[in-house]
Amino acid sequence: MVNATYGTLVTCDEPMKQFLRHLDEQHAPNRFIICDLDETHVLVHTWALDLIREELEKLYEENHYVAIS
Amino acid sequence: MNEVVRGGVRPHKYAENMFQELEQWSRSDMQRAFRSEHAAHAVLRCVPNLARLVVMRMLLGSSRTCSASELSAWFAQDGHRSDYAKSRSGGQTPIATGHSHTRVVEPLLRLHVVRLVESAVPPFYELDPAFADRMDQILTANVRPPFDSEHESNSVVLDSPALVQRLEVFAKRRWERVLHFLVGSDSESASVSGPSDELVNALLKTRLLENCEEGLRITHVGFQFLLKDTYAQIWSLLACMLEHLFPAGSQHRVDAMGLLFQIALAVPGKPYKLSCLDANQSRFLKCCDELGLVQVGEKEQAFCVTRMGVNLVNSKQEDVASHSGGHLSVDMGELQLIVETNFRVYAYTSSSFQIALLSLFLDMRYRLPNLVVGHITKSSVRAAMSNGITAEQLVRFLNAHLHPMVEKACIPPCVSDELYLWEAEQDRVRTDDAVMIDGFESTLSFDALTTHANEIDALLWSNPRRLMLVVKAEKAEGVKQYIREQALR
Repeated sequence: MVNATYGTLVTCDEPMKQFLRHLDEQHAPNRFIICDLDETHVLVHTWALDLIREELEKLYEENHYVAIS
Repeated sequence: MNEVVRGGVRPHKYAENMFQELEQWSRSDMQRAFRSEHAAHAVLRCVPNLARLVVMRMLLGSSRTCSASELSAWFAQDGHRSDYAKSRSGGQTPIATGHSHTRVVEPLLRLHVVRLVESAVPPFYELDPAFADRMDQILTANVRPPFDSEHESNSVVLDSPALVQRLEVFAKRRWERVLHFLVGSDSESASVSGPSDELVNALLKTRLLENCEEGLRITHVGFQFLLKDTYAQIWSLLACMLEHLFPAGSQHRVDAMGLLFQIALAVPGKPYKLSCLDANQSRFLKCCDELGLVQVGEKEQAFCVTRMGVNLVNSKQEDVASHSGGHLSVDMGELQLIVETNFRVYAYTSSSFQIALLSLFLDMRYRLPNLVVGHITKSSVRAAMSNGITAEQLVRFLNAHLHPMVEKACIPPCVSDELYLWEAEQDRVRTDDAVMIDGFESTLSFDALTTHANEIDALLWSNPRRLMLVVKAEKAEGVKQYIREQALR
Protein backbone atom coordinates (compact mmCIF):
# COMPACT_ATOMS: atom_id res chain seq x y z
CA MET A 1 0.00 0.00 0.00
CA VAL A 2 1.45 3.35 -1.03
CA ASN A 3 1.25 6.03 1.62
CA ALA A 4 1.52 9.79 1.25
CA THR A 5 2.57 12.00 4.15
CA TYR A 6 2.38 15.78 3.99
CA GLY A 7 5.13 17.79 5.59
CA THR A 8 8.07 20.01 4.81
CA LEU A 9 11.31 18.73 3.41
CA VAL A 10 14.34 20.34 5.04
CA THR A 11 17.52 20.19 3.03
CA CYS A 12 20.61 21.16 4.98
CA ASP A 13 24.19 20.18 5.74
CA GLU A 14 25.10 17.37 8.11
CA PRO A 15 25.86 19.36 11.27
CA MET A 16 22.63 21.22 10.76
CA LYS A 17 20.70 17.99 10.59
CA GLN A 18 22.26 16.85 13.84
CA PHE A 19 21.19 20.12 15.35
CA LEU A 20 17.64 19.53 14.11
CA ARG A 21 17.62 16.08 15.70
CA HIS A 22 18.85 17.58 18.91
CA LEU A 23 16.05 20.16 18.77
CA ASP A 24 13.57 17.40 18.11
CA GLU A 25 14.64 15.54 21.22
CA GLN A 26 14.44 18.69 23.30
CA HIS A 27 10.82 19.14 22.34
CA ALA A 28 10.25 15.54 23.30
CA PRO A 29 6.48 15.19 23.49
CA ASN A 30 5.94 17.44 20.49
CA ARG A 31 8.46 15.96 18.16
CA PHE A 32 8.42 17.55 14.76
CA ILE A 33 10.58 15.22 12.69
CA ILE A 34 8.31 12.95 10.68
CA CYS A 35 11.02 11.00 8.97
CA ASP A 36 14.78 11.10 9.01
CA LEU A 37 15.50 10.59 5.32
CA ASP A 38 19.28 10.71 5.05
CA GLU A 39 22.30 12.75 6.18
CA THR A 40 21.10 15.95 4.62
CA HIS A 41 17.32 15.57 4.34
CA VAL A 42 14.64 15.52 7.00
CA LEU A 43 10.87 15.60 6.67
CA VAL A 44 9.31 17.74 9.41
CA HIS A 45 5.86 18.94 10.34
CA THR A 46 5.10 22.24 8.67
CA TRP A 47 3.96 23.79 11.97
CA ALA A 48 7.48 23.49 13.34
CA LEU A 49 9.06 25.73 10.71
CA ASP A 50 8.83 28.93 12.73
CA LEU A 51 10.29 27.19 15.73
CA ILE A 52 13.16 25.83 13.68
CA ARG A 53 13.84 29.21 12.16
CA GLU A 54 13.94 30.86 15.57
CA GLU A 55 16.29 28.27 16.98
CA LEU A 56 18.55 28.57 13.95
CA GLU A 57 18.68 32.32 14.39
CA LYS A 58 19.75 31.75 17.99
CA LEU A 59 22.41 29.28 16.95
CA TYR A 60 23.79 31.70 14.38
CA GLU A 61 23.88 34.47 16.95
CA GLU A 62 25.79 32.31 19.41
CA ASN A 63 28.39 31.42 16.83
CA HIS A 64 28.90 34.92 15.61
CA TYR A 65 31.86 36.95 16.72
CA VAL A 66 31.35 40.68 16.97
CA ALA A 67 34.66 42.40 16.27
CA ILE A 68 33.75 45.73 17.83
CA SER A 69 30.60 47.08 19.30
CA MET B 1 7.76 27.14 1.00
CA ASN B 2 11.07 27.95 -0.50
CA GLU B 3 13.46 30.01 1.53
CA VAL B 4 15.99 30.78 -1.13
CA VAL B 5 13.78 32.63 -3.56
CA ARG B 6 15.71 35.72 -4.62
CA GLY B 7 14.37 38.41 -6.80
CA GLY B 8 11.55 36.24 -8.03
CA VAL B 9 10.44 36.89 -11.57
CA ARG B 10 13.09 38.23 -13.90
CA PRO B 11 12.31 41.87 -14.54
CA HIS B 12 11.38 42.99 -18.00
CA LYS B 13 14.39 44.69 -19.52
CA TYR B 14 13.71 48.29 -20.40
CA ALA B 15 15.56 50.28 -23.01
CA GLU B 16 18.67 52.07 -21.81
CA ASN B 17 18.99 54.46 -24.72
CA MET B 18 17.18 55.70 -27.75
CA PHE B 19 18.52 52.91 -29.91
CA GLN B 20 17.26 50.16 -27.65
CA GLU B 21 13.87 51.82 -27.49
CA LEU B 22 13.50 52.20 -31.25
CA GLU B 23 14.81 48.71 -31.80
CA GLN B 24 11.59 47.36 -30.35
CA TRP B 25 9.45 49.26 -32.81
CA SER B 26 7.76 47.62 -35.70
CA ARG B 27 8.42 48.65 -39.27
CA SER B 28 5.10 50.42 -39.61
CA ASP B 29 5.67 52.37 -36.40
CA MET B 30 9.02 53.53 -37.64
CA GLN B 31 7.52 54.57 -40.94
CA ARG B 32 4.89 56.56 -39.10
CA ALA B 33 7.62 58.19 -37.04
CA PHE B 34 9.57 59.08 -40.16
CA ARG B 35 6.83 61.45 -41.15
CA SER B 36 8.58 63.90 -38.90
CA GLU B 37 12.04 65.12 -39.77
CA HIS B 38 12.86 65.27 -36.09
CA ALA B 39 12.49 61.53 -35.84
CA ALA B 40 14.80 61.03 -38.79
CA HIS B 41 17.31 63.35 -37.21
CA ALA B 42 17.14 61.58 -33.86
CA VAL B 43 17.49 58.18 -35.50
CA LEU B 44 20.52 59.33 -37.43
CA ARG B 45 22.06 60.53 -34.22
CA CYS B 46 21.51 57.35 -32.29
CA VAL B 47 23.19 54.95 -34.71
CA PRO B 48 26.96 54.32 -34.62
CA ASN B 49 29.22 56.62 -36.65
CA LEU B 50 29.98 54.13 -39.41
CA ALA B 51 26.31 53.33 -39.90
CA ARG B 52 25.64 57.04 -40.20
CA LEU B 53 28.29 57.29 -42.87
CA VAL B 54 26.67 54.47 -44.80
CA VAL B 55 23.34 56.26 -44.64
CA MET B 56 24.86 59.45 -45.99
CA ARG B 57 26.54 57.66 -48.86
CA MET B 58 23.38 55.82 -49.80
CA LEU B 59 21.43 59.03 -49.57
CA LEU B 60 23.71 60.84 -51.97
CA GLY B 61 23.77 57.97 -54.44
CA SER B 62 21.35 58.29 -57.31
CA SER B 63 19.10 55.34 -56.56
CA ARG B 64 19.36 55.31 -52.78
CA THR B 65 20.08 51.66 -52.96
CA CYS B 66 23.26 49.77 -52.62
CA SER B 67 23.99 46.16 -53.40
CA ALA B 68 25.56 43.98 -50.78
CA SER B 69 28.77 43.59 -52.77
CA GLU B 70 29.05 47.34 -53.26
CA LEU B 71 28.57 47.84 -49.56
CA SER B 72 31.17 45.30 -48.64
CA ALA B 73 33.59 47.07 -50.98
CA TRP B 74 33.18 50.20 -48.88
CA PHE B 75 34.61 48.24 -46.04
CA ALA B 76 37.81 46.90 -47.55
CA GLN B 77 39.20 44.15 -45.42
CA ASP B 78 42.74 45.47 -45.54
CA GLY B 79 44.82 48.18 -47.11
CA HIS B 80 46.19 46.06 -49.92
CA ARG B 81 42.85 45.44 -51.46
CA SER B 82 41.71 49.00 -51.41
CA ASP B 83 42.59 49.55 -55.06
CA TYR B 84 40.55 46.58 -56.05
CA ALA B 85 37.74 47.76 -53.85
CA LYS B 86 37.97 51.19 -55.41
CA SER B 87 37.51 49.82 -58.87
CA ARG B 88 34.56 47.77 -57.77
CA SER B 89 32.80 50.50 -55.89
CA GLY B 90 32.93 52.82 -58.81
CA GLY B 91 35.78 54.98 -57.65
CA GLN B 92 34.52 55.50 -54.15
CA THR B 93 37.11 55.13 -51.46
CA PRO B 94 36.45 52.65 -48.71
CA ILE B 95 34.94 54.17 -45.61
CA ALA B 96 36.91 52.09 -43.23
CA THR B 97 38.98 48.98 -43.14
CA GLY B 98 38.63 45.96 -40.97
CA HIS B 99 34.87 46.20 -40.50
CA SER B 100 32.39 43.68 -41.67
CA HIS B 101 29.68 45.49 -43.61
CA THR B 102 26.94 43.30 -42.20
CA ARG B 103 27.87 44.36 -38.69
CA VAL B 104 27.78 48.01 -39.69
CA VAL B 105 24.44 47.77 -41.44
CA GLU B 106 22.84 45.72 -38.70
CA PRO B 107 21.76 48.66 -36.49
CA LEU B 108 20.22 50.31 -39.55
CA LEU B 109 18.27 47.19 -40.38
CA ARG B 110 17.06 46.91 -36.83
CA LEU B 111 15.75 50.46 -36.85
CA HIS B 112 14.15 49.85 -40.26
CA VAL B 113 16.13 52.71 -41.75
CA VAL B 114 17.49 50.35 -44.34
CA ARG B 115 15.76 47.36 -45.84
CA LEU B 116 17.42 44.37 -47.40
CA VAL B 117 15.58 43.44 -50.58
CA GLU B 118 16.38 39.77 -50.77
CA SER B 119 14.07 38.88 -53.62
CA ALA B 120 16.13 40.89 -56.08
CA VAL B 121 19.20 39.46 -57.81
CA PRO B 122 21.66 40.50 -56.55
CA PRO B 123 20.06 41.44 -53.21
CA PHE B 124 20.43 45.09 -52.33
CA TYR B 125 19.92 47.44 -49.42
CA GLU B 126 17.39 50.19 -49.77
CA LEU B 127 16.89 53.31 -47.67
CA ASP B 128 13.42 53.76 -46.28
CA PRO B 129 11.84 56.25 -48.72
CA ALA B 130 10.18 58.33 -46.00
CA PHE B 131 13.41 58.47 -44.07
CA ALA B 132 15.33 59.45 -47.19
CA ASP B 133 12.87 62.26 -47.94
CA ARG B 134 13.20 63.59 -44.41
CA MET B 135 16.96 63.43 -44.73
CA ASP B 136 16.73 65.44 -47.92
CA GLN B 137 14.84 68.09 -46.01
CA ILE B 138 17.44 68.11 -43.30
CA LEU B 139 20.28 68.39 -45.79
CA THR B 140 18.64 71.27 -47.56
CA ALA B 141 18.05 72.91 -44.19
CA ASN B 142 14.35 72.89 -44.88
CA VAL B 143 13.55 71.91 -41.31
CA ARG B 144 11.09 73.30 -38.86
CA PRO B 145 12.63 74.08 -35.51
CA PRO B 146 11.37 71.73 -32.79
CA PHE B 147 8.05 72.48 -31.13
CA ASP B 148 7.06 74.79 -33.90
CA SER B 149 3.38 74.95 -34.55
CA GLU B 150 2.25 76.14 -37.91
CA HIS B 151 0.32 79.23 -36.81
CA GLU B 152 2.57 80.89 -34.35
CA SER B 153 6.25 81.40 -34.12
CA ASN B 154 7.63 79.83 -31.02
CA SER B 155 10.60 81.97 -30.19
CA VAL B 156 9.29 83.91 -27.25
CA VAL B 157 12.34 84.94 -25.33
CA LEU B 158 15.98 84.39 -26.03
CA ASP B 159 17.76 81.99 -23.77
CA SER B 160 19.80 83.56 -21.06
CA PRO B 161 22.78 81.91 -19.40
CA ALA B 162 21.18 82.40 -15.99
CA LEU B 163 18.10 80.49 -17.06
CA VAL B 164 20.18 77.63 -18.44
CA GLN B 165 22.02 77.52 -15.15
CA ARG B 166 18.76 77.41 -13.28
CA LEU B 167 17.52 74.59 -15.48
CA GLU B 168 20.70 72.68 -14.81
CA VAL B 169 20.07 72.91 -11.09
CA PHE B 170 16.46 71.95 -11.61
CA ALA B 171 17.35 68.83 -13.61
CA LYS B 172 19.89 67.83 -11.02
CA ARG B 173 17.41 68.28 -8.18
CA ARG B 174 14.77 66.31 -9.99
CA TRP B 175 17.00 63.34 -10.65
CA GLU B 176 18.49 63.41 -7.19
CA ARG B 177 14.99 63.32 -5.84
CA VAL B 178 14.36 60.09 -7.72
CA LEU B 179 17.58 58.54 -6.44
CA HIS B 180 16.91 59.69 -2.91
CA PHE B 181 13.45 58.26 -3.08
CA LEU B 182 14.94 55.01 -4.28
CA VAL B 183 17.30 54.65 -1.34
CA GLY B 184 14.63 55.93 0.99
CA SER B 185 16.39 59.06 2.23
CA ASP B 186 13.60 61.55 1.75
CA SER B 187 14.17 63.14 5.13
CA GLU B 188 16.31 65.90 3.66
CA SER B 189 14.11 66.67 0.73
CA ALA B 190 10.95 66.60 2.78
CA SER B 191 10.20 70.16 1.80
CA VAL B 192 9.78 69.12 -1.84
CA SER B 193 6.87 66.94 -2.77
CA GLY B 194 7.66 63.30 -3.43
CA PRO B 195 7.67 61.77 -6.88
CA SER B 196 4.37 61.38 -8.66
CA ASP B 197 2.37 58.17 -8.60
CA GLU B 198 3.39 57.50 -12.15
CA LEU B 199 7.04 57.55 -11.22
CA VAL B 200 6.48 55.40 -8.16
CA ASN B 201 4.57 52.99 -10.37
CA ALA B 202 7.45 52.94 -12.80
CA LEU B 203 9.88 52.21 -9.98
CA LEU B 204 7.69 49.35 -8.82
CA LYS B 205 7.19 48.05 -12.33
CA THR B 206 10.89 48.01 -13.09
CA ARG B 207 11.26 46.14 -9.78
CA LEU B 208 13.68 48.71 -8.46
CA LEU B 209 11.42 49.08 -5.48
CA GLU B 210 9.09 46.61 -3.93
CA ASN B 211 6.26 46.77 -1.48
CA CYS B 212 6.81 45.28 1.91
CA GLU B 213 5.29 45.72 5.36
CA GLU B 214 7.25 48.88 6.14
CA GLY B 215 6.35 50.47 2.83
CA LEU B 216 8.61 50.61 -0.18
CA ARG B 217 12.08 49.22 -0.17
CA ILE B 218 14.89 48.86 -2.64
CA THR B 219 15.52 45.51 -4.35
CA HIS B 220 18.72 44.03 -5.68
CA VAL B 221 17.66 45.21 -9.12
CA GLY B 222 17.46 48.69 -7.66
CA PHE B 223 20.89 48.32 -6.15
CA GLN B 224 22.37 47.33 -9.48
CA PHE B 225 20.46 50.18 -11.05
CA LEU B 226 22.28 52.63 -8.79
CA LEU B 227 25.59 51.43 -10.15
CA LYS B 228 24.61 52.19 -13.76
CA ASP B 229 25.31 55.51 -15.43
CA THR B 230 22.75 58.24 -15.20
CA TYR B 231 21.48 58.22 -18.76
CA ALA B 232 20.88 54.48 -18.73
CA GLN B 233 18.99 54.95 -15.48
CA ILE B 234 16.81 57.73 -16.82
CA TRP B 235 16.13 55.88 -20.03
CA SER B 236 14.97 52.72 -18.34
CA LEU B 237 12.56 54.68 -16.17
CA LEU B 238 11.38 56.71 -19.13
CA ALA B 239 10.89 53.57 -21.21
CA CYS B 240 8.90 52.03 -18.38
CA MET B 241 6.63 55.05 -18.09
CA LEU B 242 6.22 55.13 -21.85
CA GLU B 243 5.25 51.47 -21.82
CA HIS B 244 2.81 52.14 -19.01
CA LEU B 245 1.13 55.16 -20.57
CA PHE B 246 1.26 54.19 -24.22
CA PRO B 247 1.26 50.49 -25.11
CA ALA B 248 3.79 49.45 -27.73
CA GLY B 249 2.69 49.69 -31.32
CA SER B 250 0.04 52.33 -30.84
CA GLN B 251 -0.12 55.66 -32.59
CA HIS B 252 0.03 57.32 -29.18
CA ARG B 253 3.42 55.79 -28.58
CA VAL B 254 4.72 57.24 -31.82
CA ASP B 255 3.26 60.64 -30.88
CA ALA B 256 4.79 60.55 -27.45
CA MET B 257 8.17 59.61 -28.85
CA GLY B 258 7.81 62.57 -31.18
CA LEU B 259 8.23 64.67 -28.08
CA LEU B 260 11.55 63.04 -27.30
CA PHE B 261 12.73 63.45 -30.88
CA GLN B 262 12.05 67.15 -30.64
CA ILE B 263 13.64 67.45 -27.22
CA ALA B 264 16.83 66.16 -28.80
CA LEU B 265 16.91 69.14 -31.15
CA ALA B 266 15.65 71.75 -28.75
CA VAL B 267 17.78 74.54 -27.39
CA PRO B 268 18.23 74.23 -23.63
CA GLY B 269 16.76 77.17 -21.82
CA LYS B 270 14.56 78.33 -24.65
CA PRO B 271 10.91 78.46 -23.69
CA TYR B 272 8.53 76.55 -25.93
CA LYS B 273 4.79 76.92 -25.93
CA LEU B 274 2.72 74.12 -24.45
CA SER B 275 0.10 74.69 -27.11
CA CYS B 276 2.25 73.08 -29.79
CA LEU B 277 1.94 69.66 -28.13
CA ASP B 278 -0.90 67.23 -28.61
CA ALA B 279 -2.65 65.47 -25.74
CA ASN B 280 -0.36 62.46 -25.67
CA GLN B 281 2.73 64.57 -25.75
CA SER B 282 1.43 66.71 -22.90
CA ARG B 283 0.90 63.60 -20.82
CA PHE B 284 4.36 62.40 -21.58
CA LEU B 285 5.79 65.84 -20.93
CA LYS B 286 4.77 65.44 -17.29
CA CYS B 287 6.91 62.30 -17.05
CA CYS B 288 9.81 64.15 -18.58
CA ASP B 289 9.33 66.93 -16.08
CA GLU B 290 9.34 64.35 -13.33
CA LEU B 291 12.75 63.08 -14.43
CA GLY B 292 14.18 66.55 -15.02
CA LEU B 293 14.34 66.45 -18.80
CA VAL B 294 12.11 69.46 -19.20
CA GLN B 295 10.80 72.08 -16.86
CA VAL B 296 7.19 72.98 -17.26
CA GLY B 297 6.57 76.57 -16.30
CA GLU B 298 3.68 77.07 -13.94
CA LYS B 299 2.35 80.43 -15.00
CA GLU B 300 3.39 81.01 -18.57
CA GLN B 301 2.10 78.23 -20.78
CA ALA B 302 5.56 77.16 -21.76
CA PHE B 303 8.27 74.67 -20.97
CA CYS B 304 12.04 74.59 -21.22
CA VAL B 305 14.21 71.66 -22.16
CA THR B 306 17.15 71.03 -19.86
CA ARG B 307 20.59 70.12 -21.08
CA MET B 308 20.14 66.73 -19.47
CA GLY B 309 17.12 66.18 -21.71
CA VAL B 310 19.04 67.02 -24.86
CA ASN B 311 22.00 64.86 -23.87
CA LEU B 312 19.81 62.00 -22.81
CA VAL B 313 18.08 61.58 -26.12
CA ASN B 314 21.36 61.88 -27.93
CA SER B 315 23.19 59.36 -25.76
CA LYS B 316 24.38 56.59 -28.00
CA GLN B 317 24.70 52.85 -27.90
CA GLU B 318 28.48 52.85 -27.86
CA ASP B 319 28.58 55.53 -25.21
CA VAL B 320 26.70 53.28 -22.89
CA ALA B 321 28.99 50.39 -23.64
CA SER B 322 32.09 52.39 -22.88
CA HIS B 323 30.44 54.27 -20.01
CA SER B 324 31.58 57.55 -21.43
CA GLY B 325 28.01 58.63 -22.03
CA GLY B 326 27.48 59.49 -18.43
CA HIS B 327 29.09 62.88 -18.19
CA LEU B 328 27.16 63.03 -15.01
CA SER B 329 25.26 66.21 -15.04
CA VAL B 330 23.94 64.68 -11.86
CA ASP B 331 26.59 64.52 -9.24
CA MET B 332 25.89 61.71 -6.85
CA GLY B 333 28.71 62.85 -4.65
CA GLU B 334 32.20 61.63 -4.04
CA LEU B 335 32.54 58.49 -2.04
CA GLN B 336 35.82 57.20 -0.75
CA LEU B 337 35.89 54.27 1.58
CA ILE B 338 38.36 52.79 3.97
CA VAL B 339 37.37 49.36 5.17
CA GLU B 340 39.23 48.05 8.20
CA THR B 341 39.75 44.45 9.16
CA ASN B 342 37.58 45.04 12.22
CA PHE B 343 34.61 45.68 9.91
CA ARG B 344 34.67 49.39 10.52
CA VAL B 345 34.05 51.49 7.43
CA TYR B 346 35.15 55.10 7.08
CA ALA B 347 33.36 56.80 4.26
CA TYR B 348 34.58 60.17 3.08
CA THR B 349 31.51 61.77 1.65
CA SER B 350 29.17 64.61 2.33
CA SER B 351 26.48 63.49 -0.06
CA SER B 352 23.33 62.44 1.70
CA PHE B 353 22.57 60.15 -1.20
CA GLN B 354 25.76 58.17 -0.69
CA ILE B 355 25.15 58.05 3.02
CA ALA B 356 21.68 56.71 2.44
CA LEU B 357 23.08 54.14 0.06
CA LEU B 358 25.67 53.05 2.60
CA SER B 359 23.15 52.85 5.38
CA LEU B 360 21.39 50.14 3.39
CA PHE B 361 24.04 47.72 4.59
CA LEU B 362 26.06 49.54 7.24
CA ASP B 363 25.31 50.12 10.87
CA MET B 364 25.95 53.87 10.96
CA ARG B 365 27.77 55.19 14.01
CA TYR B 366 29.18 58.67 13.58
CA ARG B 367 28.58 61.44 11.13
CA LEU B 368 31.06 64.25 10.68
CA PRO B 369 30.92 66.98 8.05
CA ASN B 370 32.85 65.03 5.44
CA LEU B 371 33.04 61.60 6.99
CA VAL B 372 30.68 58.93 8.17
CA VAL B 373 31.71 55.91 10.17
CA GLY B 374 29.75 52.72 10.13
CA HIS B 375 30.16 49.09 10.97
CA ILE B 376 29.53 46.14 8.78
CA THR B 377 27.51 44.07 11.19
CA LYS B 378 25.79 40.84 10.65
CA SER B 379 22.37 42.25 11.26
CA SER B 380 22.86 45.20 8.92
CA VAL B 381 24.18 42.96 6.17
CA ARG B 382 21.42 40.44 6.72
CA ALA B 383 18.89 43.23 6.39
CA ALA B 384 20.42 44.21 3.06
CA MET B 385 20.51 40.61 1.95
CA SER B 386 16.89 40.08 2.82
CA ASN B 387 16.26 42.90 0.31
CA GLY B 388 17.91 40.70 -2.27
CA ILE B 389 21.27 42.46 -2.38
CA THR B 390 23.99 39.86 -2.82
CA ALA B 391 27.37 39.65 -1.12
CA GLU B 392 28.98 39.85 -4.53
CA GLN B 393 27.32 43.20 -5.17
CA LEU B 394 28.38 44.53 -1.79
CA VAL B 395 31.98 43.48 -2.26
CA ARG B 396 32.04 44.97 -5.73
CA PHE B 397 30.52 48.19 -4.50
CA LEU B 398 33.01 48.50 -1.65
CA ASN B 399 35.93 47.72 -3.94
CA ALA B 400 34.75 50.22 -6.51
CA HIS B 401 34.74 53.08 -4.05
CA LEU B 402 37.93 52.46 -2.11
CA HIS B 403 39.90 55.48 -1.03
CA PRO B 404 42.83 56.08 -3.40
CA MET B 405 45.23 56.03 -0.46
CA VAL B 406 44.28 52.47 0.44
CA GLU B 407 47.28 50.32 -0.44
CA LYS B 408 45.63 47.22 -1.78
CA ALA B 409 42.90 47.79 -4.30
CA CYS B 410 40.43 45.61 -2.47
CA ILE B 411 38.74 45.34 0.88
CA PRO B 412 40.34 43.11 3.52
CA PRO B 413 39.74 39.44 2.67
CA CYS B 414 38.36 38.74 6.13
CA VAL B 415 35.57 41.21 5.47
CA SER B 416 34.70 39.93 2.03
CA ASP B 417 34.87 36.33 3.21
CA GLU B 418 32.56 37.11 6.09
CA LEU B 419 30.10 38.75 3.69
CA TYR B 420 30.07 35.60 1.57
CA LEU B 421 29.71 33.45 4.70
CA TRP B 422 26.75 35.45 5.90
CA GLU B 423 25.20 35.01 2.51
CA ALA B 424 25.85 31.27 2.54
CA GLU B 425 24.33 31.04 6.00
CA GLN B 426 21.01 32.15 4.58
CA ASP B 427 21.05 29.20 2.25
CA ARG B 428 22.19 26.69 4.83
CA VAL B 429 18.72 25.40 5.41
CA ARG B 430 16.31 25.06 2.59
CA THR B 431 12.71 24.11 3.12
CA ASP B 432 10.12 22.94 0.63
CA ASP B 433 6.53 21.96 1.17
CA ALA B 434 6.55 18.33 0.31
CA VAL B 435 4.78 15.01 0.29
CA MET B 436 6.61 11.86 1.26
CA ILE B 437 5.53 8.73 -0.52
CA ASP B 438 6.51 5.33 0.83
CA GLY B 439 5.17 1.85 1.38
CA PHE B 440 5.88 0.57 -2.12
CA GLU B 441 5.54 -3.12 -2.51
CA SER B 442 7.74 -3.44 -5.55
CA THR B 443 10.84 -1.75 -6.89
CA LEU B 444 9.12 -1.62 -10.25
CA SER B 445 6.34 0.71 -9.17
CA PHE B 446 8.82 2.78 -7.19
CA ASP B 447 10.98 3.20 -10.28
CA ALA B 448 7.99 4.04 -12.44
CA LEU B 449 6.81 6.72 -10.04
CA THR B 450 10.30 8.18 -9.60
CA THR B 451 10.70 8.49 -13.36
CA HIS B 452 7.30 10.08 -13.70
CA ALA B 453 7.91 12.52 -10.84
CA ASN B 454 11.18 13.48 -12.42
CA GLU B 455 9.48 14.10 -15.73
CA ILE B 456 6.91 16.46 -14.29
CA ASP B 457 9.63 18.15 -12.24
CA ALA B 458 8.12 17.15 -8.93
CA LEU B 459 10.85 15.02 -7.45
CA LEU B 460 12.72 16.47 -4.50
CA TRP B 461 14.39 13.43 -3.05
CA SER B 462 14.34 9.70 -3.52
CA ASN B 463 16.04 6.69 -2.05
CA PRO B 464 15.78 3.46 -4.01
CA ARG B 465 17.03 1.37 -1.12
CA ARG B 466 14.34 2.50 1.29
CA LEU B 467 11.80 2.78 -1.54
CA MET B 468 10.85 6.27 -0.47
CA LEU B 469 10.51 9.48 -2.42
CA VAL B 470 9.58 13.04 -1.64
CA VAL B 471 7.75 15.21 -4.15
CA LYS B 472 6.76 18.86 -4.19
CA ALA B 473 3.46 19.52 -2.46
CA GLU B 474 2.14 21.66 -5.30
CA LYS B 475 2.66 18.81 -7.73
CA ALA B 476 1.40 16.10 -5.37
CA GLU B 477 -2.00 15.86 -7.04
CA GLY B 478 -0.44 14.93 -10.36
CA VAL B 479 1.70 12.30 -8.69
CA LYS B 480 -1.25 10.84 -6.81
CA GLN B 481 -3.27 10.71 -9.96
CA TYR B 482 -0.46 8.80 -11.63
CA ILE B 483 -0.41 6.33 -8.76
CA ARG B 484 -4.13 5.77 -9.15
CA GLU B 485 -4.03 5.51 -12.94
CA GLN B 486 -1.17 3.07 -13.01
CA ALA B 487 -2.48 1.26 -9.90
CA LEU B 488 0.96 1.34 -8.36
CA ARG B 489 1.47 -0.61 -5.21
